Amino acid sequence: MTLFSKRSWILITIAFAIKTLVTTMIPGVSPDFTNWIQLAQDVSDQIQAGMIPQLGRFGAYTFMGVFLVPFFLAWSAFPIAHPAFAAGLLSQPFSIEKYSLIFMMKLPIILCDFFTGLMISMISRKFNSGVAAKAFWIWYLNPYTTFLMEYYGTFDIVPTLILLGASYLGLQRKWVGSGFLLSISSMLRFFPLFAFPFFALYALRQKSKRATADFLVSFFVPIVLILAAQAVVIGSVTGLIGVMFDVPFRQPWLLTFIGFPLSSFVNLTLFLLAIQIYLVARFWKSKAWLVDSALVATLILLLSSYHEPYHFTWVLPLLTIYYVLNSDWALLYALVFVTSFLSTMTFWPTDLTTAYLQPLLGGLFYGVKSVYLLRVNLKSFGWKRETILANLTGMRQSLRLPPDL
Amino acid sequence: MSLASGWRVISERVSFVYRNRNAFLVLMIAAVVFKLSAAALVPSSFELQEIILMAIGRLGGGGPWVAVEKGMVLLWMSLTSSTNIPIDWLKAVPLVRLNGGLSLLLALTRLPAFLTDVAATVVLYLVVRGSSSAERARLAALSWFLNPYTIFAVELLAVPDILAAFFTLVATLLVLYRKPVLSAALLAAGIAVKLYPVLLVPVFLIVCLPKVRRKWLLTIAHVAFMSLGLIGYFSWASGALAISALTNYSPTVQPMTSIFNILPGARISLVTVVLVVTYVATYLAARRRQSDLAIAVLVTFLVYFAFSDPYPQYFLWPLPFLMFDLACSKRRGALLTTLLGLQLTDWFFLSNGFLTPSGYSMLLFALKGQNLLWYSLSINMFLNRFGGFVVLIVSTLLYALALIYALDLVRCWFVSSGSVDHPFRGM
Repeated sequence: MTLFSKRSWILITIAFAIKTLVTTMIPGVSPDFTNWIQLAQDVSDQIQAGMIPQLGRFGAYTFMGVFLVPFFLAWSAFPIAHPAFAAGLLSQPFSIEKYSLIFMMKLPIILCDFFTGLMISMISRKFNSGVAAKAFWIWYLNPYTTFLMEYYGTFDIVPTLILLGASYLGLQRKWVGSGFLLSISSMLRFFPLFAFPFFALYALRQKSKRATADFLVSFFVPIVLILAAQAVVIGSVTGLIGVMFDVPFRQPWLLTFIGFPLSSFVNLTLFLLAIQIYLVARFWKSKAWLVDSALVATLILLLSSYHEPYHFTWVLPLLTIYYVLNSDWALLYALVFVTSFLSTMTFWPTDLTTAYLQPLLGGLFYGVKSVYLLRVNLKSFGWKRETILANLTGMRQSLRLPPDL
Repeated sequence: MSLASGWRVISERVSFVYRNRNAFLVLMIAAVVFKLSAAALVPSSFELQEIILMAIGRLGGGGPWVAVEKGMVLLWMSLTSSTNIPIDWLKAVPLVRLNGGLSLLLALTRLPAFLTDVAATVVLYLVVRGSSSAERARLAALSWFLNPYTIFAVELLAVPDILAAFFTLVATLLVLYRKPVLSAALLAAGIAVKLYPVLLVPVFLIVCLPKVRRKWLLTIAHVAFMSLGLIGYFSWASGALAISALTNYSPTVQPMTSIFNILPGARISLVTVVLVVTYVATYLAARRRQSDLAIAVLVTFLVYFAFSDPYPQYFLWPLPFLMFDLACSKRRGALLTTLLGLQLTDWFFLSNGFLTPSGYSMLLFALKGQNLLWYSLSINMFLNRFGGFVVLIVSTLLYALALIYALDLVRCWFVSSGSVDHPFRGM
């Protein structure tokens, strides 16, 4: 059975063409897009000089830089002028050099956006065969995702797509592929690591030692190989360990993801994650267990700490799948985007008004995220709506509801 | 006689005052006399002092409440043939140097709050009677009007929160009378006075929308009236005191830092997060027709109170609805009594023993000045040495209990039929 009808494919092709054209016309507005181009250029210079890109130099961005190199090299092969500082082209007026650079560097975003749509459709179809096209359109025509990815020029969709691929293969019981993709996505950006315990739990639940072993080996082997290569470049394992521990201090934004402090020694992210792992292992009965647990893993990360607006890309495809499969809360789904957008508007306050509004709008956004986290958990417990709070308060037996409720 | 049977006997004796209509009326009249006497005898609070200084133009700030107080000051001037307020009126101490003219001034400046209190009592009575019975309505009215907290917060402090609370109550009553659009207008009036009823707009919409036919009309009405209320509030609040009115404490305006718990440097308001979760819980209950408006309002206020580190007098916001809950279901009576006790204790310590500018406490004993008696010295020493520690413990318990109360109400929405706890005959 094909994923979409012929008519849907035609419409999807048209939408893809229009989105690609519009994306190319918009220079990336976030300083990050400039940084990514600079990173791609630096890494490609190292590779062309016959060196392995080093963790010690590029830190958490090393592997993302490697991923971007082919796109930068493809642009370098164009028969046009190539300035020494390629990212500087973004601030110049119209030129073929500038727009070809924008096109080539946004190509990963454009492609990953498109393939994420397809992946969302494929995963949704596994649970409900009639929602594939709907799932694609809900993702692909969402103005907020376009705003975060194509407009801003951020690359978080790349590891997110790979995480979706890992989820899809996990659902297909293809554990080697699933572990490998989760490993790759975790190296590109650290956040898929938070989904690892849930994937491992899912593999364990298959009651097959082979499945668990396949998943764990395929997850750890790429990481070990890459780290071994880095150790060779650095010269020793102790040197590598020193470099790895140094990364969060050289790129301190990573430390914000340990979450809001609960006390002098406890931070929220791992605290919530530990509770969530217990809840998932003990109570969850969701039919989309793997996908929903990946959703809560990323949601916890973005609920328990401050994060840049575009980090929300990590959770959006999984949220879309959840909405498509449980579409009775359209208002809440819409509110996620509205509050996230409003929160984005005041994330970098420019005046006193936005500075005052920031905590309020941020609070609304985090409130909606909290509701989603509760919602996914309560639904996955498999309780009927009427008994949700009865179970929470241990008063199931006392429940006496009229039959029409 | 066991403790339980003793308690039953006492509560039956006490219940006579709300079971019997005449006893109720006598008690209410006695309370009116007591409150008016207290208004005339108890020295001015810092809040009342600030409002009067605004009214006579010695301090910046304004608004509808200050305009009313200005009228009272002018009335006093015409009655006493004075051209100005004597500069030492604030220092007037009770019973000793408080002469007739100054007592009249105190009584008159507290009169608007007292009258609003009486009006709020009547509305609360009608709300409970509309939802339940006349007997329970009398219990609610008595619990509100005779409540020591009400006397401190309304009659003695005389802050405009009581006016906003009154508008909120009327809005609730109008929903009960199936006038949701008019109710939206009254809620907006509350917003224009003190902003905080803006927290209730989602609650009113969530609870009322499933019960009306023309949902779009009610939504538009709420949004339009809320906008008018906000424009009204900000036009006088920020016009008078600029941005400081939205951030600093004043008895007449609602500091934004308090209403949304915006702390310096904070990027996410925790109270907003929990309010969103509360609204969703209310929505779920409303969808099952399990929530009634007064309780939904109460839950919102309690959750807000638990997370926003509010000023003590802001407990006035949930108080009428707590009395509603007490009258309709006495199950949480002990919890409510503890909550009120903790609130008054917290307030006592936070305000250095209800200290007033005269150096006297609102409880009518001296706290500052020369030749203090032994008990005043002891209280001062206790406040100075242990006040911070006591506040820490009492505040923590208070906010925790407020949250527990709210959670218990929410639990009732989901684990039992709403009609068990709160008979709801309204829309």
